[in-house]
Amino acid sequence: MLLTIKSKTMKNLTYLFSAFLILLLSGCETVVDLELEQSEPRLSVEAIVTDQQDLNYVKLAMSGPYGKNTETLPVRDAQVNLTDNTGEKITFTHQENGLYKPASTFKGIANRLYTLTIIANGQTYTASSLLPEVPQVDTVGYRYVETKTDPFSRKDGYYLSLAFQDAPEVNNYYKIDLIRNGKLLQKDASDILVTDDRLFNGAHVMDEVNTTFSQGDEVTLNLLSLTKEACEYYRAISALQGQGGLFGRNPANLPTNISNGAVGFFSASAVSGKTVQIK
Amino acid sequence: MKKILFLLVCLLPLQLLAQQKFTVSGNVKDLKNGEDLIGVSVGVAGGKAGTVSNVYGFYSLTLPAGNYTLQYTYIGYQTVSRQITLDRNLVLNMELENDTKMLNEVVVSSQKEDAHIRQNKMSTEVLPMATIKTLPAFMGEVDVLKTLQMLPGVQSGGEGTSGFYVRGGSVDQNLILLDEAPVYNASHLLGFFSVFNADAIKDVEIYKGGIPAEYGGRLASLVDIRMKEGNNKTFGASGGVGTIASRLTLEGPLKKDKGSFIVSGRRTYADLFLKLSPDENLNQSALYFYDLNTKLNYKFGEKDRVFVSGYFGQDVFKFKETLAMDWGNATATARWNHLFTDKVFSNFTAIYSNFNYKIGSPGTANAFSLKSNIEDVSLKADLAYFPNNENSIKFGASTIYHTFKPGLIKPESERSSIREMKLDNKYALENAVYLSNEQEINNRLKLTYGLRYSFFQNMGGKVQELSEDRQQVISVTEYERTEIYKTQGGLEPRLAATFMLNEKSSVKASYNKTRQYLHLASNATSASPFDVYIPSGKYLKPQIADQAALGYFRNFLNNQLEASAEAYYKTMQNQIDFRDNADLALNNNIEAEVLSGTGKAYGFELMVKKHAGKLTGWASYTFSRTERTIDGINEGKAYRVRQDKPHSATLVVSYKISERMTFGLNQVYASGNVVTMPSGAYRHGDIILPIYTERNGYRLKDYHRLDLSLTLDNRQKPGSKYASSWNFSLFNAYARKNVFSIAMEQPEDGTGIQTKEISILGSAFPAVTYNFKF
Repeated sequence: MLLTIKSKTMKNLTYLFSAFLILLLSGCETVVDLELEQSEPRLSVEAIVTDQQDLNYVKLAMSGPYGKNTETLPVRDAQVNLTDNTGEKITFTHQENGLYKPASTFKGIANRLYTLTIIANGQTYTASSLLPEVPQVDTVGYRYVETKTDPFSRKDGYYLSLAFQDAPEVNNYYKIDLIRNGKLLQKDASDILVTDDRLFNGAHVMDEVNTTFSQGDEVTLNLLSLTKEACEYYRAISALQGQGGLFGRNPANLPTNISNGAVGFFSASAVSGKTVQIK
Repeated sequence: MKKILFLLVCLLPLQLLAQQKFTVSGNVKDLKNGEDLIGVSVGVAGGKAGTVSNVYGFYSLTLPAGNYTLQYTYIGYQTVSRQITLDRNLVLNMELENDTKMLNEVVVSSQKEDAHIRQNKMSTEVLPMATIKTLPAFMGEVDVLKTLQMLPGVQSGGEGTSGFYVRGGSVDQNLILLDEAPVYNASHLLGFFSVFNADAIKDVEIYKGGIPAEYGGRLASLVDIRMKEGNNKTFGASGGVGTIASRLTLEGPLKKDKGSFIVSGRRTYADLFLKLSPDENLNQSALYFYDLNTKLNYKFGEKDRVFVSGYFGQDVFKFKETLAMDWGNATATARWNHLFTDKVFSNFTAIYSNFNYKIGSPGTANAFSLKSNIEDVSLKADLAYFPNNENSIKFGASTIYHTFKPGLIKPESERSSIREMKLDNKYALENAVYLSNEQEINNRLKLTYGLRYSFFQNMGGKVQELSEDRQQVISVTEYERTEIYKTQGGLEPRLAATFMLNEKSSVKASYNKTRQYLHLASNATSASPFDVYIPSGKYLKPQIADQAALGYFRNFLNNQLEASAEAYYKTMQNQIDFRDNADLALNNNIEAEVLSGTGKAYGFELMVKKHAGKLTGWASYTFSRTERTIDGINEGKAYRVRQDKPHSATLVVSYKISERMTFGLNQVYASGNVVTMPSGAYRHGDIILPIYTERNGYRLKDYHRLDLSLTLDNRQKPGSKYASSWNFSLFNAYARKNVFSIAMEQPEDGTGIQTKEISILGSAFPAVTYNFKF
């Protein structure tokens, strides 16, 4: 909950409040098909570099129409290179459906500046990011919560908790990734958990993550360090929840650090995590 | 400027000596309850000279020595004539009696019959409570602000939004005054109801333009709400039991004819029904508001009168132990009316106003509370000088001390990982002086010319020095509490003219410049009570607007039908909006998120109003457009804002079916809201992300709604003071599902996005209210 206070609580409060009003006033929602204008397709980039071996990838596609069928065509024939400020260079090669992975064993190193270069459709796109440090996750635990007795009336299920020491005197930005039985949860905007340390700078943070798991799940909880810009990007994704509601904010394009008119983001993170088996 | 005022004050006695004329002055009140009557026309029979009583019921008329017949005329009241011999200065207080003949008819205008065309006022509208009370209201709760939104040029933000828009201005550009105290958030339950309890209110006046020089601080409009003084003849009680709220008002004399009091309270009880709900989420929740109005006034001799009034209101929302929110306003006004001479009326005012909110999560592991408030303490002196019948001069000065406490967040349990965090408090002085004169050039031409000079001074507290792009804090300077580090301000000319074309019609024109020093930080599509106000300062310039308006006014059917056509053009500078993905919550460096640019609004308003007879009400049509051009938004191109509604029309009818039965009707039509819709999509993982190319490029379906009401007066027993009535209302009678916004959701299968039209009111809302008085 804590991790979401800054970015989401205010919004959730009003969202909850308006949902409550709508319930009282028998307001309603009608599914409609809208005819929306369609803009020119653009290159979209989802690029993650970490200090772990298996978590580095670049995904390339062309943007598509917004609506009932959003088809984003993969870009399969791009040249993708990553360099750092010490001169090290690594090439990413195409695997399948626009997914590129390092051609050889690669691990990012904290405090280095990484630059991604993509050549696709005859255009060159670049993006840079620092790879910030991350504190060690001390513990990851879980407990069973029942709706009836929970002050938040959350769904029945197992909830994960984590503890770590936030570094004082610097601004830190964090993301939490949850990997359930080998699959990263990022199905919709509510799966994006990011925060800055404004409310707990220097504290030993203990918090519970608002995602349910079942008995038998093997869950990895990863704490990722982010740059301020990457945090803004993820926060903007997270803000897509409840979009268009009573207090939805003015819609805006998500931030991007990719040059030349592309959309998406290149983010470098250090990762610290633990895996638990829910019994 | 100050020198001029000083000179003017010094010259007053000299001028009095030099004249061979005498002055008749006094107060005009209601005979039955002693309420001051505003806008009573006081004139010499034959129409040679005349004046109008001010907001305290005071009038002053200077005439050459001689015999006169004075006439006191006020719609809905019996005209009174008095023979006077003016051989010395006279004090003539007058009490007017409700016209029993008229009593059964709804009075829409409380002015002299032809004031509509004759008065040098345009873009304004007065709504007496008697009118407002017969109209249909949501859940039967009579609402001043909702009725204002039925006037041309005033747009509603839609159901469930607290703001309203005047002539293309934004929600924070309306100055709402309750007995001269500014009310920062005028809504309860997120805008479904306003904070103004109809039982405590005397009347409401809105200025959409032609704002007089004595008012300032907001760009678009002034909503001047006056509380009742209370009956100074006899004790009385009135109240009502409604579908969602009950009201009780007590009033009476402090000393007969000398002073009176009124106390009025209201509380909703929808939350009591929630407790009965089987749904656990509902029955452990609370949702209610209450408010309390009180006012005292006392007359010390003929020359001095003191008023003290106060308002306190609070909204409370609780969702189990998870969430508690409350917010509310408190205002207090102390006023002293003093008559220096029978030609110089003065009013000295001290005002306190506070808006605060608190959000907490008390029962959770990381318990916290967040508090925010804005507080004003203000002093004001307003003087009116009536040198002769052709001129009436107003001048004065005011200062407001603003304290902004944007946020303090605290842990609320020992285990909580939340650290205490405080956003920097801000302090500022908002000052103004003004001088204006209303002059009757001749029988046909009236001019009002005024000048206001306002300036805003930031003082004390911590100030952040920002880098050129404002994204980095370079250093922090801490100033002493009384140290002024930034002053911004300027002149605000206010002009108005009325030219009588003939006895039935006139042409009016006005121009005014207004400056606004406070800005509402909200980048949501609709304002919420949790938005914060930010002051102008080092990185934020005051907003400025210039508005010119031209109108044609004509009366028909012996002044019973008033028609008007007005066109306006407004330009705005330093309009603010927020950069894409702005982070406004708990941000100590909010200036970094602000973008500013220009705005433009234009349109015309047509209105026909009938204010006497069995059938009263009005019909109006408004054409209005408004846009903003701000670097960094919509690629720097002009874009429409939410209040851009090209067409809107209203029909408001009150029909007296019989002695005891009144029927009311509102019909509203308006172009749909504009929203921003995506024009492309890409993905992060499975999450579909939008691409936008045009801000507010998509217009929702048209808005329309019909409300009906029926008021039944119960038979009054002979000799009994007890009177009562039933009010039945049906809001949104044909259950139109007006679209408020479009929600975008990603269904499980991940192939695309589902768009849904959201309507806040999904059905018709009947309500019953029982009102009583004794």
